[in-house]
Amino acid sequence: MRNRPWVAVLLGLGASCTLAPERLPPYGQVVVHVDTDLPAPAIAGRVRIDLFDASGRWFDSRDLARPNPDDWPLSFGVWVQEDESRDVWVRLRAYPEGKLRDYRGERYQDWPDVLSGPAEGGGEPRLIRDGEDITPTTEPEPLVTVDRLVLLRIPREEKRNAVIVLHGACSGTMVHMAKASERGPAYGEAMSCVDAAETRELVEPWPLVEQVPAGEPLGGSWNHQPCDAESEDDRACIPGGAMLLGSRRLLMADFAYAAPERLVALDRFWIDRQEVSVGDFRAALSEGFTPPALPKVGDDPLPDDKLERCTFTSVAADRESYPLNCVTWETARAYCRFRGGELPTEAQWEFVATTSGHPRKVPYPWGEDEPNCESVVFNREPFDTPAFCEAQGPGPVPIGVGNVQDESPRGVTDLAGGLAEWTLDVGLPYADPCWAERIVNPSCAQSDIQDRSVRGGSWSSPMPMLVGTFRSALPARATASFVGFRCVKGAM
Amino acid sequence: MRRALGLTFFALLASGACGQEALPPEGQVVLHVTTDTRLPLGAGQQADRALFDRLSIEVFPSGAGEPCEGCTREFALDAELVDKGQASVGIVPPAGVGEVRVRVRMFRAALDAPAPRAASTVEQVVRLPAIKADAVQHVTVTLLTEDVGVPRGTLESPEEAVLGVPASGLVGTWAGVAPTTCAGEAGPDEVCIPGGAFWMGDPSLDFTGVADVQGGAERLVVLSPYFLDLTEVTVGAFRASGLAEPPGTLATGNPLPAAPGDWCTYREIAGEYDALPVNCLTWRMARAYCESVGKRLPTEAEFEFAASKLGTSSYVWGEEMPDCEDAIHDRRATGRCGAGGPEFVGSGVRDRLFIDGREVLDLAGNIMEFAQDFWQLDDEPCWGTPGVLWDPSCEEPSALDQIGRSVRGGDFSDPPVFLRAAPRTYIPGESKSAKAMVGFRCARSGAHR
Repeated sequence: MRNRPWVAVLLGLGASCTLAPERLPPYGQVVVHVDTDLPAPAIAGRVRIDLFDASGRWFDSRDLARPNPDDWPLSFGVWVQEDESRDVWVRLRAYPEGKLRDYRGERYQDWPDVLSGPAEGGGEPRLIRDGEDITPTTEPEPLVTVDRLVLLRIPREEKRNAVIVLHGACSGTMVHMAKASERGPAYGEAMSCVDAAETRELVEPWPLVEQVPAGEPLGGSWNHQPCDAESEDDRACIPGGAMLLGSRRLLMADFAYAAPERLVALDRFWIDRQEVSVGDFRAALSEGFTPPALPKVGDDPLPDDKLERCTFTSVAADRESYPLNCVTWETARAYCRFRGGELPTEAQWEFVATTSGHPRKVPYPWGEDEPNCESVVFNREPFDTPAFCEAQGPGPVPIGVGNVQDESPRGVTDLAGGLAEWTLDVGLPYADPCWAERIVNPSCAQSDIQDRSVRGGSWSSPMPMLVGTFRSALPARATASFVGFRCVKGAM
Repeated sequence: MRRALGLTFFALLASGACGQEALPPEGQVVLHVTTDTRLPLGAGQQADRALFDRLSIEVFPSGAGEPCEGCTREFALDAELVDKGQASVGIVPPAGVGEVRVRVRMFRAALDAPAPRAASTVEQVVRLPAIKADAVQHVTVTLLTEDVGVPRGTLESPEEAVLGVPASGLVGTWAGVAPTTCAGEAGPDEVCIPGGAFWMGDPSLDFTGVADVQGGAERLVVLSPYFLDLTEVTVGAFRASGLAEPPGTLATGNPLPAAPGDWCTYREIAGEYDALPVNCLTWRMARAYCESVGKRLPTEAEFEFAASKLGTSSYVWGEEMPDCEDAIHDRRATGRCGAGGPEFVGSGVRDRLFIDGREVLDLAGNIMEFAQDFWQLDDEPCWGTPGVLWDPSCEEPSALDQIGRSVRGGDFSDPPVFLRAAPRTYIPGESKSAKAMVGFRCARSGAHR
């Protein structure tokens, strides 16, 4: 009795079979092979294909789901009949499932304008077939899309291949089809990113090959920097990779700053598994650290006024294992630099809290489940609404107490609850041009702005503030009993 | 007309396998999937009104609670694929294995939260027939829209697989997607909203912990046709009804309001305020007005169907966040759109549903609107019962929250998220005056009797 492994037993089904090979037209054609270095399907979950003829007329549009990791690379054939012009423009867009905006016509935008919301559009060009307007009503959101235009010169009576890679580095860099916004691609005007961030090249006929070179699929290779044996006990190593930064859903009240969503990448870094404790800080003082300002002292016992519950004591007492709060941004940053590190950027913080170690972006460090009062330290005080977790008693609490749920797959704790945490960046909306400077290791930390971003919830925050994409800001000189910090270190 | 240019899809699966010819000739089961629901028309075509668009197939070896290695796959579903009998997979277990179970799930992926969710999944777990060496056996799984949210079979007690290949022509035959139009003609101030099936609620919105807001849970709703007023009821219309008598029945607001709640629009003397939507009234007064003109308040589902462009978009205009001129909203101290209150009806440039040559105005912004329904939370019986809801109308007050009546749509002080079609909230009581953020419009049934 033979025994075959349970591998790849599911075969068939899918668009592959809608047009069988024997039905291919006899004309010359180009088989387009498309791969991407984005993680799939978490980010490259769909691909949009738009075809334009040599005159720039739009003649087809498809939008295909790519729900399995091995759905990339994908291939399709493009053909023209004899005696026709032999050029076809192909626009390819890889993007995450569901990330669409309204199609209101061609709306080309350059950096950093693309951050601040879509331009007006005149509704053109249109996709007309057999006299009917079948223009799709939506299109991929440019900031989470890798957008690519190629020009194919179809050979006569032959089959050739075009091999195209959609590079994450091109995310947010839109194709510029023509100077006139109401038409499709034009010779000498059409420009597309190829593989360098925020750079477009004039689109020339793409080289065709007889054989498709063999190679491994590229999925997830954009800025992939694995962690090897260099992990440290008190710092978790976070592999470099791609992420969706921000949320277009968090638009509540004054918390509009998490939009727009963007596709970015981060280099590998190391992050403290725990928030910096009173004992950690005191140890640094004894090693010669001179902070710009000492944390506010809250000697025993912690007072009833929640704003005055500062954990630092003037001499070592029974709160050395509490997370340090009531500390200015300058002091927090000076501590991290004294330890040879830095405060995390917002993107680093959000990557750990929502993405790293998960198959797709999740709301909480541990995943999708809602936090519960016994295992995440949050909402122990009224905050506009009654305290949801009042029964757990007041906060703050020592590190490691009542937080078993609040741990990311990389072993980083108290990102959702415990204390909110200072980050390196200033508290400007993501639509600010400051955020457009780079898509790898994005940061907006200019020194002339004094508000600094605070991320994560605290012992006092209600549940919506525990979501990993939530942002708020405080003046850098402020001290608060619900704000502490942790540090990161870059590549070593 | 000749098509001179073409696009051909093939070998989309990385395996390169296409159809059964790629399968080994030995013992195997070909599992076919068919359904009566509305699907995208063809591969890669826009799926605006499709109810489902994704299929997940998982194979479980005997005794296992998890699928075997490499035995999980998702597929984009479309009508062409199912109609041609090509929605099938070959399952080739190793020889000599025991019971093989397959979980087949059809769900909604084309939104900002692509994982299968129980409330929008049609699920069947079947046991395959014993594998016969050197024979191909065909089984068919038929996924019925009516089974949404209620799985057939479990891993512990699977259904027996039905032998044979599916009959064609089933796609789109579910009664809920049959087109329906209104009986009778629309009056000059209303429009016929045709009946149809749509997903109420938006699972990509998370209102967890946000007081008094719901709408993050989804359920499949079928509506009969109805007539909906083009505008919210105005100050002028309400005064003309006589329901604002005697003077003082309705608050008239401050000339220079300091807080959003003080923007009451009613005036006892006719004038420029007449074109503003009337507000600061009770649910009972709103209901009385609609009854006085032979109508009723719309149900929550009727409001949401219209406000979501018949179930095809997040906002009445599409997917984009509004600018200040697009819809009247975000007017408050910390908002983006300055100070101010309600505007004349139809002031939002994009706040309009275009249908049948007419425009339904202010469904997204300006002021919220009373619905006919009692308020219940998403997971209470009115909305949380699994399965399809036909013409839902909530007749029982909440057992877990305050007693009140639902209000829908956004108002002039709301941030953009509340202008979406899905969020729901309420006004406690029925005879307590709502503040300036709430008005109403009327509706009436268009169903054939």
